[in-house]
Amino acid sequence: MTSSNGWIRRKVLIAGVLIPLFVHSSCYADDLRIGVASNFRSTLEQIATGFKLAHNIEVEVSAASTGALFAQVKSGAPFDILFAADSIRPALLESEGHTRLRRTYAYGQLVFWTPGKPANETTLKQYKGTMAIANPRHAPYGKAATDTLELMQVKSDRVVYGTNIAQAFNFVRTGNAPAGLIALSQIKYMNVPAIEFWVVPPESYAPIEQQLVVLKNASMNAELFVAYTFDPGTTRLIEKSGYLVSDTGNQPGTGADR
Amino acid sequence: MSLSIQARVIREGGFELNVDVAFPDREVSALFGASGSGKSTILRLLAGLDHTPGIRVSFNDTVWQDDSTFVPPNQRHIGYVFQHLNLFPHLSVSGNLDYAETRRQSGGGLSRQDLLDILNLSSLLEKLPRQLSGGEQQRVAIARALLSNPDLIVMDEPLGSLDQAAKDRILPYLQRLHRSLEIPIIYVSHVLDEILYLADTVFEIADGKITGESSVIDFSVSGSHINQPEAAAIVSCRVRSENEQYSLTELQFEDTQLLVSAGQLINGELVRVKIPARDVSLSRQRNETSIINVIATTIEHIHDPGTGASAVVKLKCGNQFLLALITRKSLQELRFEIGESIFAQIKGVALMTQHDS
Amino acid sequence: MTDSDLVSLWLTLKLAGATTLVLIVLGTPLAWWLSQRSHSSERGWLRNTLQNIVEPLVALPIVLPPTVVGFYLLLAFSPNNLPGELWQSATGTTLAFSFYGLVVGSAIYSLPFYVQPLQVAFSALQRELIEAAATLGASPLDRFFSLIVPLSRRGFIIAICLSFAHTVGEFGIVLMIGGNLPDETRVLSIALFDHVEALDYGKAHVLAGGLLGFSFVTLFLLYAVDRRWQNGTRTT
Repeated sequence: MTSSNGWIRRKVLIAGVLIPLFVHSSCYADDLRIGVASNFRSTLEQIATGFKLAHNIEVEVSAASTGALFAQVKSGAPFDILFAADSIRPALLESEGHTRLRRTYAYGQLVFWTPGKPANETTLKQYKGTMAIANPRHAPYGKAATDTLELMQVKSDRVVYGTNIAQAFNFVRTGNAPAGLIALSQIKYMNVPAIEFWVVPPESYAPIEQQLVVLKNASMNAELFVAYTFDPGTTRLIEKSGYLVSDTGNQPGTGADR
Repeated sequence: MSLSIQARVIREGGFELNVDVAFPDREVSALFGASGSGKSTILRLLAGLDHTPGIRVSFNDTVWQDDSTFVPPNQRHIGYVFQHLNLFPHLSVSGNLDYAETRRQSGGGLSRQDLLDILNLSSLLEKLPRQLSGGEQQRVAIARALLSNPDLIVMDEPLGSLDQAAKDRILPYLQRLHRSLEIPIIYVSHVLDEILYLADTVFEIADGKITGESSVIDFSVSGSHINQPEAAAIVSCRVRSENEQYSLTELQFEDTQLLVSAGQLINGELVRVKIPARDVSLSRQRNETSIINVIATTIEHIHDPGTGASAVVKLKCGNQFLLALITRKSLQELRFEIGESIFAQIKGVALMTQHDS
Repeated sequence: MTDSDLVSLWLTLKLAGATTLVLIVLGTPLAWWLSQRSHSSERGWLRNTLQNIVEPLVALPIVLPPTVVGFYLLLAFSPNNLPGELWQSATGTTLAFSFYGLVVGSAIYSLPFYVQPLQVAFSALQRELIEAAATLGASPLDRFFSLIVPLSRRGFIIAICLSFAHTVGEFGIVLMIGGNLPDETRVLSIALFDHVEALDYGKAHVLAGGLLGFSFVTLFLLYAVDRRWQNGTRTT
């Protein structure tokens, strides 16, 4: 009798250790895992820090391109929230049934940057040299840039595409392109002197909507984080980083497709 | 005095070459020594293939190398025959010859047809090197070297990778060439037979130093190599007359005569005769014997190594010498003495190069 | 394939061709120099040391991520730095975002694929053959073209095919410095990447499949030719 009791006890002990490891239900997990598009990473990390202090919940941030995050989620990566740099991929995820919430958290702002030279509407309209922008075919800032160039009738020598806005920024930073249409958030992050850049009026281009999605099986703390993101203190932080939180010109969207 | 080299070179592993030598013009100079004695090193330095500083090489009036000059090998007009790996594998025999011919130095020299005839290459022209035997490859290599019309020929153990039969076939070609050419030939080998066959002057080399310089005649009968079974005396004779009845030729050797098988010889011509030591036996009397050449000589020297079966006796005849290889037993029993008059019985006599005096 | 993809195809072939030509001109002497190792210790000391440094440098692009090479190239090409400045004053344009810039980048990146097979072929040559040619009156340049090149044919073929094929597949460098200009720097690998980023998988399949097929056919032919060579000639 004793041996069979001992045997059962051992099994229960093993089960007690192993089973919790296999429990997937995120309702039991406290940590939040967030995927963020690279260009919003530094801002999100600041938000996450604030959230941790306020709610005492651990947050793990992974940064990658929106496309990479999109592919990872579709392959089952265990994110709770995705902060994308556009609205197309979030919409796709929603239509395929991966999400339970989708909201616009920020609007990107386009700036005209000419290092070492003053930048304003006139200099943009008159600019003739090489212009670096993000690839309009798949990068949100790129489409905004081409909209702007068309509207302002800029006749630049040639327009070079960075594969994303970060690369466009790098082209200008290294001096290979004398000018570029890039993100205000990058300008702020790099402390570029005010005289070198000019914020393009948002009505010049279709809004650069950046949306977040909460994934279907996310932790219950995910909504808590989303709420925190729209907290006035946080929205101020986001604006300070170079984004708009409610747009001022075109239709505010809950995912207007372009 | 045509080609000279002064070199003091130290190689890795401690080998030191220390030579100061001049090679005579229009002759075959042989460099005779064991493997590793420095023979090939000298040749490579002469040709400029190893550019080593601190040596001096000159040819006729031109300085090929000294402290301030270095003439690269392609400007020295040297015909070089290596022991192997001479022929360009991607070209036929004809192509190999073309290679030399298109870069040929102008001004005389043997023509392509001459060389094809002398070295008997006409049937091989379309073949690739890998389709040739070792002997054929070397003949082509020699022809190609000569086709560039060099001022000097250098051969580094050219028969080294051939078997005995192939060697025997090539040696006559080399002799023929020597007759046809007026340029110096430097011939390197460790094989006594080749040296005796081809050389005019012999430079002995050991441990990186020249240990002797002598005519081939003197060389043949002196030095430690005379104990080798291939030892032979080279003597100089003049052609006297032909004995047609017996197909023999009479040669004047010092005060006496030698009879040899008839060859195409011209009366009055000076010829070299090679008399192998093992074909010479000794007798105190002139007997009735089938051996046709019996010569009166004086014993000059006796080399008894103390062990083994053989000893070598050096014989003087007039101003020249012969060698006799006899058993130590006979030496003991007959008690030959230096200065003694003795008859040398010569069984075989090989005629070698004919040359002008 | 769309028109723009056809342009990309042409650009890709042009880039691979130009890069291979540059490598033939610059890489051949380099491969030769690396293959000539001096055996005597005192005379060859400096040369051996240089060779010991250059050899791994040449091999670097094999192990470095192309992003590293691209990163430094972008800096070098910048008109704010010396190389870019020199180019700009000479030609009036930047090296970045230009076909020439791609050729420079690809030549660096495909360098080991050209130099290494050729270096191996050169090292295998028998010294006596080259010396024999010298004694027959052939100058160093003469020896090179009349003897060394024919005897190293196999090495040349491998080197040329590998560097050509490698450049066709070039992506990382072009991504970093190309700027995606349709008529100048949008090579096939970039076009493919664009299609994927834009979720245009149909077009992506066409290009990816084409590149895969091309690479396979190239290598298949290379091996086949090489086998026939081995059986036919039996030379080193």
